[in-house]
Amino acid sequence: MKWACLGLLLVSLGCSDSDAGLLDFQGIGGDFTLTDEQGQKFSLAEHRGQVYLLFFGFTHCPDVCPTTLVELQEVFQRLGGAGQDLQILFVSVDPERDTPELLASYLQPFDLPVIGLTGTVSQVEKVAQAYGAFFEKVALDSAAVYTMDHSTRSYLIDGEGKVRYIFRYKDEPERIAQIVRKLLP
Amino acid sequence: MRSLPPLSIFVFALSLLIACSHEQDATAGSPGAVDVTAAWARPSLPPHENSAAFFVVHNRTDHAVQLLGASTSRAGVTELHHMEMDGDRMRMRRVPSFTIPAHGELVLEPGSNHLMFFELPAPWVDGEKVDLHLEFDSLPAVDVLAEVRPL
Ligand SMILES: [Cu+2]
Repeated sequence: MKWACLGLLLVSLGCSDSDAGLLDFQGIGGDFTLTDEQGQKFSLAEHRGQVYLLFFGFTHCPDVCPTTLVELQEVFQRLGGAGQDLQILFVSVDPERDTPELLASYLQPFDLPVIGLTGTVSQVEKVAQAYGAFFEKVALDSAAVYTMDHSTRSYLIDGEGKVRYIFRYKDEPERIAQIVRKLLP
Repeated sequence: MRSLPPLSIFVFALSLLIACSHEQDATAGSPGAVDVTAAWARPSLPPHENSAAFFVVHNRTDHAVQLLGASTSRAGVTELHHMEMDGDRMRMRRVPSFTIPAHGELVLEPGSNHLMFFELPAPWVDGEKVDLHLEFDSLPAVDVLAEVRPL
């Protein structure tokens, strides 16, 4: 994991700033196949041309995940009509509990074009590794039974499936909208 | 007059006792020893219908106070949780108590310390008020209402 962080730091430093805000990341991101909240196969490679904002979370998440979803609603408000060309990918880091059905009912109250993704633990681990993300199952002496420590970055993916920006938790919706807009028609 | 010395000791002891209980009154029993303000809770979310509550506890006494536990009529289980960001990693743990320093305050807020609720018999929705019963180590329990509002 330390190596992944170091790698992220190095590529961040080496990024070109040619597109006025958009970046290129070598060795971060890539295609993957998971299962969506309808129980259908979702393959990133089959969606060239679509711009995504991907983040990792889980439905038992106390407030970071709901807060991120609320802030994404604000991003869409700022994007206005341009927002119709952006989709959110919510990748569960708790696939043992997060079935497609649970993801569907968790995401339904949010007024967002969001696809919930889950799979086997090893499938999700591979995606997290590819994106330089981190998660770990931690047992709790609690009604929650266990929690998932996880990283909270969001990845902006362009129509070629490449990561073009990495947002931090609590980045301003206005700033996110500003950068996302550069990829939208 | 031989009985006077024992009596004066008795009176002295009694006055000490009164002073002591008075002292305890000022820090423990009287209203305002701890105040709970700005209490609110987030709406519960399907499918798990868990929730969390946040508030500020002000400790006006000369000694640290422990918040040992909490309950509500609106959830089967209430736990004290601490959450923190380690770089960009989110980490949440259950804790046995929160400490409110002498003449200090304890802030419960999103992304940090919170009360967490499980086994809600009915969803918590915007605008309603949820009763909270907070238990302290050396002070009487405090009851407050937390308004449910969006994150
Ligand atoms: Cu919690």
